[in-house]
Amino acid sequence: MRTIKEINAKIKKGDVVVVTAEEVIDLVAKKGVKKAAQEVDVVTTGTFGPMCSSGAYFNIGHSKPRIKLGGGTCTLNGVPVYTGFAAVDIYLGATALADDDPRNKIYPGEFKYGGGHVIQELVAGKNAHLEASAYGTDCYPRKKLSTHINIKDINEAVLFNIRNCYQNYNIAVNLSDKPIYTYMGMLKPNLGNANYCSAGQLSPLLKDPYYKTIGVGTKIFLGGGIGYVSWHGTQHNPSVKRKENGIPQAPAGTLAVIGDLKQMKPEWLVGVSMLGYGVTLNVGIGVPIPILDEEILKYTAARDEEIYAQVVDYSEAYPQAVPGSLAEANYAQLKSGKITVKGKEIPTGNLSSYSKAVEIAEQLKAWIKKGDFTLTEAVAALPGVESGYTFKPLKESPSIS
Amino acid sequence: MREKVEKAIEKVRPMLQADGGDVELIDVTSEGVVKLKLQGSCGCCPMSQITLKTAIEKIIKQEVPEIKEVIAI
Repeated sequence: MRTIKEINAKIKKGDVVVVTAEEVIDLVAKKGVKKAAQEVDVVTTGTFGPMCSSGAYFNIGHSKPRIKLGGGTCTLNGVPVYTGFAAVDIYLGATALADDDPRNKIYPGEFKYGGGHVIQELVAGKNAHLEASAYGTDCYPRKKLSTHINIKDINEAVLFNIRNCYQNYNIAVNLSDKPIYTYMGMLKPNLGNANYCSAGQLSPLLKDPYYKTIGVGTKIFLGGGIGYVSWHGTQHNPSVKRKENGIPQAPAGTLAVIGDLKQMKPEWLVGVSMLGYGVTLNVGIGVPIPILDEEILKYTAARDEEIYAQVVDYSEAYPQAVPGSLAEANYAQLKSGKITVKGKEIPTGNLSSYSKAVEIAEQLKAWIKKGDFTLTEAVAALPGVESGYTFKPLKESPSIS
Repeated sequence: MREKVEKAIEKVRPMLQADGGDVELIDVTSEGVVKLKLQGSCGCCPMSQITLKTAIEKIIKQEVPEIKEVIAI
């Protein structure tokens, strides 16, 4: 029907037709797949939620005299960063905590500050205090460094998230008789609430369920700036059960993404404290889907009613890694504010903000229409259903045999 | 001042409702502190503090500059 090259030519000419993954639903309902596919060039998606496997690497520049942080220790605002690289490259993970953070000593812990907050502050242009110690070598003699750094002064600041953008996720509930504090938020006892985490009909990988357009090299909205899909994310699991419409019924594909942190915005990279659980980073991601044929358009038009997730008990089944589902619900039911599990009607809450996802999809649409954002061809496909790629549990071997 | 705050809240309410939540204005103190009650899915959502600070407080302060802080009770 059309190629990415042809779409880019239309973007440059200013006559590209772009709709969001929400708008395309009504369009298809009104005009049908064939007509809508003829009209629409690009569908934009969006998601904004906690994505723990996120972080950023920095090259802070060489001090005088030189110091080798590799093999030493280093903190940013008291939060430890990984130093196992060369002299002045460091990586800050979103969930990192200061050594003196009380964690869950007084349960539930508050986790007021960590890696996600440091990343947000750096993106906002605030200084961070770097404290480092090294063992010293002939070529890198310095052993101590205490300085403030600012994102605008350092060589590289790159957001590199190894698992984002989960294609669907669990609906978390608590079957026990006491409250529990999880990465899915506080879960009230005896099925007191159900928390879920997806933008549903706006979520990128749910609108391209077989990864026909999203692949390595896809240019995306990342943290308010431009980024790229760098690989499939960790725990990528395309082989889970799917409905007849091709949409996975459980957590499936994931993306690893990368982009220049210096051009991102603090409102789209937000440090989050989760009571009793830890610190994370809310990440805003938007992916454009080029409408290359009718089939791709049809997938983008999937509605919340057609996308199902599984209800999982986080008091026993999840922590003990017991597979299974208590029930399933679709995103229209989840968004209605209540679902029924084991005969009980329970309130639902979304950790992923749908309204922010709409904002991202609209922002990406505006960039494309303005000619500021052209699309890229994927240079390699993500492992698909046919690949046999799966997500395996740890094979524990406590003793060497 | 309470009326102005009510009007500002009306601007942010559709966004909250899109995520299954809502908000009720409880009090506006003479010191410029707005006290709100988060409702619906906002009531038990771990993201509600982000919503409170980055969306609700931002809009209220923008519309009613006399307001110093917005807190959930």
